[in-house]
Amino acid sequence: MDREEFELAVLRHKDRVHSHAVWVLQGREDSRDVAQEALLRLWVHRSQLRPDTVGSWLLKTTHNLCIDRLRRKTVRHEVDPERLELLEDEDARGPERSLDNADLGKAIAVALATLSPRDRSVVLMREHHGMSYDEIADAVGLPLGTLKSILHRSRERLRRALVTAGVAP
Amino acid sequence: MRDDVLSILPGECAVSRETLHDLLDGPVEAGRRTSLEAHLATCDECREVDDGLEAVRAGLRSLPETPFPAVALRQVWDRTVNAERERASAAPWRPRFVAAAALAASVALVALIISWSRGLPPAAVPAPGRLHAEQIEQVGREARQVLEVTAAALKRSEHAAIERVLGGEVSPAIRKIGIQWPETRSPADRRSKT
Repeated sequence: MDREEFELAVLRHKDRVHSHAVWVLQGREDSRDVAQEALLRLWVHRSQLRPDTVGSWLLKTTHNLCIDRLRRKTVRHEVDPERLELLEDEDARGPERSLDNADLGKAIAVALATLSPRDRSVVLMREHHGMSYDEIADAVGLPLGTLKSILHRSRERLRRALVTAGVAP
Repeated sequence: MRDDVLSILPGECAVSRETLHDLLDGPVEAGRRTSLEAHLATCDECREVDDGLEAVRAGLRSLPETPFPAVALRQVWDRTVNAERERASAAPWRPRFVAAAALAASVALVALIISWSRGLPPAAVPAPGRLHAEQIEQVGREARQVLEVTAAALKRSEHAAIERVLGGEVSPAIRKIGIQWPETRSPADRRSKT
């Protein structure tokens, strides 16, 4: 990957890398640092990468940076206060509220916080970023069977959270 | 947890839930799919689970992305492509290094010429005002040697090589051709003579 391809890759993937870090770490300052570090590492390793593999490589790197950071620091796995407020507002409106995509998105964001960072990362890699099972298994260093088990368990947990939040039947 | 949940479900429901999850991972055999569809047509609870899993998938896909801050992006450019551009524009000239090398070469050449003009032994000069051809050739060789050492220093980008140009490597070469350096006096000598 040359310099021009690097520039295009950064412009194409910067927001998804940052978003992934935001979702996994549940904290914006850390997330920005992690995303920046992932993009700088892309620059260092650019000669070993092909443009078509950059997306999954960046998410793998972001995942590992997030997990490292969580190991180094004691990060509390709790729901962002702003998100809690959103949830409380939703609850206050009662069952007559309309269930649109925004409601679903907010409820999912809150439900995601109930998963462990690793499981959150795995679910997002699969369902949001559309990575293949092989790519995810490589990214998180788990066998396919374990990966599928994590995905099944996490989806079920999220489903229950949506049912509790009243946005799923 | 999932296995626990499945184990307390009626047999047909447990199989259907398993198939529902597997469907999210990819295609399943036609027979399993047909059985699932038949079961969903009669079981409200499993249909709700199916809808719930679809809602999870839709919710995850619709999560809004958080833009990477412009300040952070600028820092990435500065530390990658911009830094490389700066290095690339500076590299061919390497101003400080070239200046140091040029100075080293000049000093060495001037020293050679001065030494030669002041210190040649009379026997080496066949006629006043004229240079012996052999001596000229030798001085030329030594000057070329100085330039070669300087060029090597430039190539290796080693400051130590420049020091060698000014120091140890040149003096023996000059001694070899019998050229005397101008007499140098320490400040203490100068004071004692005055």
